[in-house]
Amino acid sequence: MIGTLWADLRAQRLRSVLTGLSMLVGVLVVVGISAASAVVDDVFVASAEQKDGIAGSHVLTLPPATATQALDAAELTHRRLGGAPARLEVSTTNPLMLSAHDAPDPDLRSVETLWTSGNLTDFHRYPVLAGSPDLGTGLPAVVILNAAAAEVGLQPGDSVWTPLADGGTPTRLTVSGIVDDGHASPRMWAPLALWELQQPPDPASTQTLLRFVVPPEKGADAAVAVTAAVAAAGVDPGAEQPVRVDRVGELRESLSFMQAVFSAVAVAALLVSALGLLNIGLASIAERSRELVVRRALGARRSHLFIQVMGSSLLLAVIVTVVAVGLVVGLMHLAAPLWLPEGGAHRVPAVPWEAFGLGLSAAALTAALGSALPAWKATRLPVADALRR
Amino acid sequence: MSVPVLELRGLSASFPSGQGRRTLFTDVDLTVGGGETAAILGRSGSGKTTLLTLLGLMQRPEHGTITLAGRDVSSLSDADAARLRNRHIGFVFQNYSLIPHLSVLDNVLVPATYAPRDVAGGRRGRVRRRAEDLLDAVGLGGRGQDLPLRLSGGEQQRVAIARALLLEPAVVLADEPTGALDEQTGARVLDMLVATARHEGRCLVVVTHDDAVAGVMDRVFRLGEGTLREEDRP
Repeated sequence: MIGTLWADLRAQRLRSVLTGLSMLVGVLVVVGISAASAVVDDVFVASAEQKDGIAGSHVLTLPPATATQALDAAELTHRRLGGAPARLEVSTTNPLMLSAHDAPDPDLRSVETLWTSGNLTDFHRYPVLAGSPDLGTGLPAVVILNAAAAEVGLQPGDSVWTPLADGGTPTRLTVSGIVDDGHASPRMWAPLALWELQQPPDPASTQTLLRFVVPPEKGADAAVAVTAAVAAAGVDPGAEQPVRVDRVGELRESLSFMQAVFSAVAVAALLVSALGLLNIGLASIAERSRELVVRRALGARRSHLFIQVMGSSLLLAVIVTVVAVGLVVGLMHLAAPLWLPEGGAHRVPAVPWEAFGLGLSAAALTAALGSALPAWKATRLPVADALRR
Repeated sequence: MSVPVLELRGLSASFPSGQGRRTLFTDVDLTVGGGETAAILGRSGSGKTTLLTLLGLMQRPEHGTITLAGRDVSSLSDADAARLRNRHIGFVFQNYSLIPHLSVLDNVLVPATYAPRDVAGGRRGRVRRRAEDLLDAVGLGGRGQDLPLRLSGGEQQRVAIARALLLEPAVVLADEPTGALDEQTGARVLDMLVATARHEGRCLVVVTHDDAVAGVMDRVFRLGEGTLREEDRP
């Protein structure tokens, strides 16, 4: 049967090509929208998740607390949220110093420090450039650096020296990982347990944030649970409430609107294509009536002719989809890297199988709509006409 | 007469005309056996084509019965009639009716497209070999990949004969098989058709207005004035 369908398409090559082209426009828009959504998600959403946090990131500003209270607050929050990632972040405005050598060196650099715990990638989409993004329990004492801080040539396993207090004796820490946080200035993450060794931290210059990640629709319920957890740890949140800090929702809303607009365009294009297919199909049946009634005389049943007419349109739909996907994949892999920013959290787009499925469905539906009536008319041709001149 | 393959009993046909219907023929009886050849003669408008469409199960008779190899096929469904046509009836049309965009071989194989797999034996199976053998038998071996456009009228009709015989039908119906051919070519085609039918024991019914064609057949029937009468052969 495939051979018969292919022969039918080849018998009217120009007509098949023109029909395919008209279908291609609509299918290309469908495939393009789907594939572009994936790319936009990968690029723009990735960048937003790198900078502000993954979807559902919330932050609660807390008053100064001891490290033990802070860790307890994070742990209780983690449990109250059913295991959702939660951590404390203490950022200090009196930067610490680190050097790249195996021994303290008076030639030091200032680095913004975030005292925290857990796996950094649970909260931000940080590409891991080397080592591990997990601070673990803080022992042995480790640090994670961003790319800017490590650009002096630091690698996991290297030692850095930093005084934990102004004028204090430099303490040796081991680099356990290097991540890309999208910041141009150097930054490091150190275990929250070590922060308490700073003598003393200046409360006025210390900002403590509780960061947790929950599905955006559960943010309101989570806020209540988190406030209670923090209070249970002995930290009074006051009037502060958790606020959502990621921008993923806004980006995806904008994307949805554009998707809706382009989808409307695609539907219109496919409808026009279906009408064209209907017109051409009816004309084709009229031209081929002799062949079709002879096939009936030779034993074809009505269903055979229906499948033959509809099948050649569906075969064309498959070909059109393959071409459309090929064009989109080619564009993605050849052109996208030219305008994608270097580095960053985005991934190289993979083969858009979902786009292929959507495109095939759209093309098949168009082909079915456009060829159903011609196929039906083909089955109604009187077989006795095979013997009439 | 050999064992009857095709039997018509009390067949009638009419067609709409003005306010009523005009009768083409009534109480037509016809019996043709395996290996027998029969011609149905009649002038234009006598109902030859209508009779052939009834014989070919392309329409149901208004009255009467049609029996094919002992089975009453008068009131089959459209699908069953198609199956029976495919398996037991071969057609040769006046204008060859080859499919122009298919090769000669693929034209011969068209009936196999609609046959059950155990009959067709697959495109690359037994039936393909039979198609090639038939093309050899009609003198067109080696022309299988040509398109019909490159064949003469006589060659196209020979392809049509091969197509009609592909699935070894019990009955072959030919509608003016030499009508579009010159006298010499027509005679060759007719001889081939008759010889094959007799040799393979098939029942051949030819509809024609040409007495010369009828003269080659075992039996001649004349359709006229609403009846079918067998003519005496010398």
